[in-house]
Amino acid sequence: MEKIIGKGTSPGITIGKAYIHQQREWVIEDKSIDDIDLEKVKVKEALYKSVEQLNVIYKKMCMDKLPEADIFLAHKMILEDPDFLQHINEGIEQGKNARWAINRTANHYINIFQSMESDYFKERASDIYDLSKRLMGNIDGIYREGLAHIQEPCILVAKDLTPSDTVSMNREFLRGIITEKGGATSHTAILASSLSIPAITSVLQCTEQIDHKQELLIDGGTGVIYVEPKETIKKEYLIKQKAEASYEKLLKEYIGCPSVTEDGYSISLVCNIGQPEEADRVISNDGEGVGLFRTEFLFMGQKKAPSEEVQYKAYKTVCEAMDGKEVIIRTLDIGGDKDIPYLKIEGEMNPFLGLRGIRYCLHNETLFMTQIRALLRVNEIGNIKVMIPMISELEEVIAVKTLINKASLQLRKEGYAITRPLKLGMMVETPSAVLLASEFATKVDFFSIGTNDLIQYTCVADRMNNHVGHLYSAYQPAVLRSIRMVVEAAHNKGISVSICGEAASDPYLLPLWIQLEIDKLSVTPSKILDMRYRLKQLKKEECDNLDILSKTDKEAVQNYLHQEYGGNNCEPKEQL
Amino acid sequence: MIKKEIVIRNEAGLHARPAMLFVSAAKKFNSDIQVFKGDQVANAKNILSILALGVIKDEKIHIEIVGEDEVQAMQTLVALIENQFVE
Repeated sequence: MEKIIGKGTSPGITIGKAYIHQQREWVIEDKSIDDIDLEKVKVKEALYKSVEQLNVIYKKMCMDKLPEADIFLAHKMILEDPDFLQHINEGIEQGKNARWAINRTANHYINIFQSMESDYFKERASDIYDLSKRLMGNIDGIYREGLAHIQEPCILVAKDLTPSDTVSMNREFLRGIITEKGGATSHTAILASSLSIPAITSVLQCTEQIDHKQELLIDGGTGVIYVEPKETIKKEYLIKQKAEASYEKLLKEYIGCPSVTEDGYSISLVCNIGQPEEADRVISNDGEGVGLFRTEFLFMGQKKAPSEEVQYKAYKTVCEAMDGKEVIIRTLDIGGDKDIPYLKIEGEMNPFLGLRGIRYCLHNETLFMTQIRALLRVNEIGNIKVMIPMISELEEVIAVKTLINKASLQLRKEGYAITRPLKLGMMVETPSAVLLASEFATKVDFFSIGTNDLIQYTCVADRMNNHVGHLYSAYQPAVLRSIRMVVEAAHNKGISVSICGEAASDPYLLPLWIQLEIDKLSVTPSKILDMRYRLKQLKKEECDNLDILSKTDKEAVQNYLHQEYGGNNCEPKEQL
Repeated sequence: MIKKEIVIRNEAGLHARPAMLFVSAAKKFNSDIQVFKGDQVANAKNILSILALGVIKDEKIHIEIVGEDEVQAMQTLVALIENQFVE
């Protein structure tokens, strides 16, 4: 038995036989041809064949009421676009063979789409790739509809899959997908999600590692693949699969329910998002708001900084999707491990102690002002709050407030109505912010504890460093007592505290968050219902009696939490 | 020649389905139909050039039509956009 680990992009557990799909890569020869007219005729014929095939596919998908039918209609229209044919013919007029010309045209359009700002339009590049393969396949032959001949259930294994590959397959037989390429938003992941089957990607050389017809057990939730699984593993997973299914059903009953403990103590459960599109998942998972809207996505994967308009639209989109629920937007937090080429931070010796977060923004006023302006404008039409990251000095907060005033005046002069005050909070993630929490609490409207960085800076350890990674722990008493200090300082001055790092969703720490009376926990959308369930299993009374913070080492803390609450609210799946 | 400026309001902008509907509609007319976004221009009868414009939600485009059926063409296309491409 062999174990392979990839990245799960669609959850679920399944056992089945592997079907290895080898992609035919066209060898594009730079061969010249003599008869230009003949070559053009070949392209025209291939075009007709392709359009015919797409017509058939489109009609069938419409009859089966499949939503991806539109993709094929789009392919058809692109093939029928006179500009497309003309570009190919220009290649042929250079004396080149049909496949070469088609490849050249495909690359031309692929580059255009890949350089677009919108992710949606970027993905159209793979549509061009897909239809060009069909076209090339129809030159001197017939494009073979990849997987139509599969007649029994299987787990598909391929380097990558295009819509054309999967369209012809009988969906009933598709039990899981393993690929080398393609991310969480790729066609493959979306298809797998819609069919509720597991998908795992980033499995390098999967078509070589796995043999045709080998038995596989795959877990799309963890990204684990067992090749020729032992009986014991199979049994283990069958139990896990049953438990997961019942648990999912149980959680759905918590939609629309308040987030309260058994004795009625409530905590706000909100979400962390990194892209406007994720707002939909907040809603579908019944999140009560957005506790952290990361804005780095606007700056990454682009050639230049986003304009005020682009930013304004993105923030507005999220506010609208959240339909009046609060959205807390964090200003640009780059540096450290987040590398954005065009923002030019020259190689630092110690990026984690360097020009990151608010320091970067205060150092680049023009860039920062653009973001502040966009936020002030959205504040007029949406329910937002703003928070600033990596704060270590009071002067930083004061500087930000000065810029906010400056931007307000600027906007008013330009005719914008800036009437609502902008609520400003800060991330508490540095030891100095913790130690000065009482002073900071008089300067901001709320605190949000970023446990990931707070743990790093307090334990003074890099979690990725093998030598000291074990020192990085949320259970370190120094970290937990820091959090208590921050909460006390905040509540003394009447402001709220939320936690938005990984520790927010740690079920073993939930009783402590209740004891400390944390106001809000911000977690990934898929954890909301789970958290709500766990909250209901606890009583504030009992949480108040827990003696966690007197412990002086992390092992003691961990053992205490696991023993005290291991049964009640943790791993409920085993109880089902 | 008729010109008109209009804002695209539907969620994903002028992407696959709306673009297809737009181009299909445009093809039915004889007139020359051009779509401008800033200083980029596309031929309304060519799906690739429309997709390459990359028009997203709330972006403004302007349509110029020249030909004998320019009036009906403009009416049809504007109606399509204003109905947010709901057929």
